Amino acid sequence: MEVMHIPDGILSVPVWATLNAAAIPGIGLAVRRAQKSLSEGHVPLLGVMGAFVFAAQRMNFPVGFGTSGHLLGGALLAMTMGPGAATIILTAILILQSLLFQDGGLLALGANAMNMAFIGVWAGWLPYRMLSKGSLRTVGMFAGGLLSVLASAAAAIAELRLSGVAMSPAIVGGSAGVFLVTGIMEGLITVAVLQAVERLNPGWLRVPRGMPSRAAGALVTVALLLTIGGVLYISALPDGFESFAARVGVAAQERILWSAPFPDYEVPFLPGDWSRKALAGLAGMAIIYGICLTVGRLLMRQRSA
Amino acid sequence: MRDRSGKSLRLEEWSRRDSFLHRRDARIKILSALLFLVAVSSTPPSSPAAFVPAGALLACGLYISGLPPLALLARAGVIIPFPLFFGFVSWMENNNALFAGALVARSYISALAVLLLVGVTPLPALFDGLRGIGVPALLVMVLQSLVRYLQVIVDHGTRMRRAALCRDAGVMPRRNRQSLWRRASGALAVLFGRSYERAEGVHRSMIARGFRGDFLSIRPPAVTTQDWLYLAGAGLSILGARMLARVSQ
Repeated sequence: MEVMHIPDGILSVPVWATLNAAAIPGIGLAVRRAQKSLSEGHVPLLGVMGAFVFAAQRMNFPVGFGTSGHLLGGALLAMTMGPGAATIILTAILILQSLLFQDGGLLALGANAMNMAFIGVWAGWLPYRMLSKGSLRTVGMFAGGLLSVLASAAAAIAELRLSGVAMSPAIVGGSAGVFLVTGIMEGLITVAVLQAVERLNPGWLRVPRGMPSRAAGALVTVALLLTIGGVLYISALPDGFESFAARVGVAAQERILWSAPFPDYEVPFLPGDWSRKALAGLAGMAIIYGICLTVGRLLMRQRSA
Repeated sequence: MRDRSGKSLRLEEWSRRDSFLHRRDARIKILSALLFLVAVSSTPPSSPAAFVPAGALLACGLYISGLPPLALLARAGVIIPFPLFFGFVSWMENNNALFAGALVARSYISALAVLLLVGVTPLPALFDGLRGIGVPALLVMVLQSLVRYLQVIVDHGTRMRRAALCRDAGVMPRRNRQSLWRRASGALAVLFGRSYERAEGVHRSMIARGFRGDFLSIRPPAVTTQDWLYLAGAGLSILGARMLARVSQ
């Protein structure tokens, strides 16, 4: 939860505007699904569990060398309340933290919600969902805790880099090291608390419906790790192809064979730097969403045929 | 969460005072705060001087609110380490100290604006205002129950922590770290269970009191002409500050 609460004034307009534009409908969708699936009794439960996360962050776990750590809670919430409910709880916590405790900004709420309530929750949920049956269940819990922290942190660092905060590879590497340690701690605490919760009442743990194969679980975990690593890598270094082309002198001889609709991730005909970039980002997201939706529907149709 | 309850109590006390800003409609205050944040955020961080007009406007707001300025300034300072770190990192990389200073100024002024908003708006009115500007009702209800039970659950956790400390007198046996770890996770699991059961109890008592799926709140009064005039004045002032910032660059 306290991976990286980005305050207002740090992110550039295109970055926070795009992330707000993505997070607001996402939160709306999560709320709409929750309204359909949850009973009235879940409303106080969601609120009280949010309060539980606040309280849980005050309990220290001995780490060694005279230090201690505490639970962050995103993955634990996903594994006990389900990812949809966890998204709503974490969004409520983020709103409260930005208003009452100056932890994170109001305009940066979309970015923080995207990092922690969406990316963090789903990165915590997917490994658990994939490995929740059999001997690898504990590994799934640990991987969930670890990946929720790493994915959130990687997204936050990428957003800062996109906003013009210059970071050397050493700084990005150092931050990645810190987040790796935090993630391992989160994984260990998540496993310990979930096992203790299960001893008290096994019904409090979310049992995913439909068990995907272990291969799929491993694939998802590796994909998440590669994404996190990739985001951190590109955050630290310039584009590999462009840098290589410039070094060997090929870049000077390039010829344009096809003009892309959004060159340099901008909509060329719009006035203002930030509006060009924000609209290009939104258009990109819409195109990716459309492709995923079409492919998903085609696969579903094939399966049902 | 360190000593946060005291901070939120002080905000609650500030928000119950009376001033021109306190009397304005919550929706109007949220909108004007968002407008201010967008104006500040869209000012390029080329120099801290670019944020002087926005800072002056905020100082006027602080004066009108009648809130203790030093306490507010100090409290908004909690966000400084974040922009300071990334500003410093950027400074080392680009050798541009002005950018670092501007990043800190922009972030600090934004935090101060949010603090002013919460300092002049009681939480129930703020939540009604959020609902009024389109935040989903379920999310607002979760926020309301979070706030309502935050102190209860945090106090419960603190009591459990104190009880555990009393049992082992705060001595950490180095060789038995595994059992300490198990004890901490067990305590969290118990807190989880108690929170869960409390939520069920809360729901039962809410139903007994006639809960029909929505928290009852006093219907917010209609936005008055004074509120609209305030929004127009705030909007124009923010626009003016933004244009001055452009000139000063």
